[in-house]
Amino acid sequence: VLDSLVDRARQGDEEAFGILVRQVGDRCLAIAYRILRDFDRAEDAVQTTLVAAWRELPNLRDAGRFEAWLHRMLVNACYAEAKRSRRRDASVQMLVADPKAGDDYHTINDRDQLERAFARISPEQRAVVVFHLYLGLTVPEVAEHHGIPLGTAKSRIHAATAALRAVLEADARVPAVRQERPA
Amino acid sequence: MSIQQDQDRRLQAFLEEGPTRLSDRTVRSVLTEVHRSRQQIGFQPWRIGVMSRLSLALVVVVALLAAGELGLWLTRPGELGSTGGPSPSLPPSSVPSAAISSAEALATPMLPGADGPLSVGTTYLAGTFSRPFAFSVPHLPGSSVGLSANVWPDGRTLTIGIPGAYAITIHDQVSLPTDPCDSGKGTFLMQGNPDAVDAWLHASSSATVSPTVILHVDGRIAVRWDVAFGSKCQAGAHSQTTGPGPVPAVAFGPSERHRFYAIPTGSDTIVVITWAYGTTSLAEVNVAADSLVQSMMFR
Repeated sequence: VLDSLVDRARQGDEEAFGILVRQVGDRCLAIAYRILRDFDRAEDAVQTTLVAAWRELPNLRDAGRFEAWLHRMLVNACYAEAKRSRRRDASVQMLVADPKAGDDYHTINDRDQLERAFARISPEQRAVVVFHLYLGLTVPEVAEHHGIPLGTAKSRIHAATAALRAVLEADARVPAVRQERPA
Repeated sequence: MSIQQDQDRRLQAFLEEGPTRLSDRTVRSVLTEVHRSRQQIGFQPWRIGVMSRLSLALVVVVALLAAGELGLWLTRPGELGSTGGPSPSLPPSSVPSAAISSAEALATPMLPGADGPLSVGTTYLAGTFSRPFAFSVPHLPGSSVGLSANVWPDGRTLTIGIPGAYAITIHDQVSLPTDPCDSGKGTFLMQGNPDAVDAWLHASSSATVSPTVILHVDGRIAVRWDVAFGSKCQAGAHSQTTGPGPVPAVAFGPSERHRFYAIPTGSDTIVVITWAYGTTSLAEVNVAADSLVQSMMFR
C-alpha cells in the first residue's frame, strides 16, 4: 500500500501524499523528537522534511526505498535544526518532569541523568542511538537510513553508547563520593 | 543483571517516552505548502550510467521522434507566419468542471430572499458573508421539492435544506456554545483559523471527534471532522432553522451526529455543519455537503 501511495505521490497526486503524510508523519515526529529532545523543533524538522520529500519525490527511483530515503532527509533536517538551535541559544533547558507519570524521586532522577547524558553526545550520535535502540534497526539498516558507510555507522553507535554509559556511570558515582567526604 | 544490561534497559525505557503523534496543525501546514509548491523533476545526467539498456534505448527513440516531429512542423507551410495573427480558439471542453471558474463566480445570481427556492445544479452567490463566495447546489437526499435557502438576518449564516428533513448550515463569525455539551459554559464568537474549530471540538466534554480529513477548497486547505455528541449533550435552544434567536445561534442536542467543516477565508474561517432529522440519512447529507463545500469559490 505504501509503495502504491509513493508511486501516486511521485506523479503529483497530492491526495496520495496527504495519506502518506498521515502514515509516516507520526513515526518521523517520534524520531525527530528523540534526536532533538524538543517538541517544537522536532515538528519544524518533520515539516521541512515532508515538504522537501514532496518536491524531491519524482527523483526517487525505487518506491520500496521511500522510508530509508525519507529518514535520510529527516536526519539531515534534525542536524540543521540542532545547529540552528545551538546558534539561537546556549541550549540551557530546564528539565520538566511529566506530572502525569506520577514518578517517584528515583525515576525523575534517572530521567534527569539520561537527559543530561543525551544532551552531551552529538546529534549524529543521538541519531544512530535512536535508530538502533528505539527503532530497533540493525547496524546495516542504520547505515542505509543515514546514508553513511557501514563502518561509520558501527563506530558512531559504539562511540555514542560508550559516551552515554560513561555519563551514566559518572552520575551514579557522585552520591557515593559525597557520602565518603568528611563533614 | 549486569551494569551494562541495566544501562541499556534504562536507555531504551527513556527513549520510549515522548510524543509519538504529529499535530494536525503541522500536517495542515505541510499540505498547504505542498499545494503551493511544485515537484522538482530534475534531469540527472549521472543517472544515465545506471539506467538499464532498454530505458536508455527508449529515451533515445523518444528523443529522435521528438526531433523528427519538430523538423516536420518547422517545414510545414504557413505555420511559421501564424504567430502574429489571432490565435485559434480552443474547442469547448465537453467535460464539466467540478469547481466554479472565477468568471462564473463573478456572474452568478445572488441567493433568493428568505426561504427562497433553490435549484439543484445552479450556482449562487452568497454575497452577505464577510468574504462572499459562490457555490453550486448539490444533489441532496430525497426529493428536491421544498429545497430552500434561508439567510439569517445578520447575513452571516446560510441554511440550505428542507425544513424538518435536513440542513447544511454555513456560518461566518457565528456565536457558538463554548462547550457544545454544556450550556452552562457560555458562548463565544467563532473566529480565527481551522485550528480554532479543531480546538473547540476537542475541548468539548463529551463529544467524540473523528481524525481530521483534509479537503481542497478554492486553493485553500479546509478541514472536516465527523462528530458524535454524548447522550447528555445539550447547549442552547434547540432550533436550527429559525435564525439566531436566543444565544447561542447554533444549538446542539443529546446524541446528535454532525459533520463539521472549517474553511479558511484568509482572515477568518467559515464553519459548515450538516444536520439530518427523522429518517433522513446523515451520510447522504454529508456527501452533498462535501460536494457543496468543494464547489465554493471565494470572490
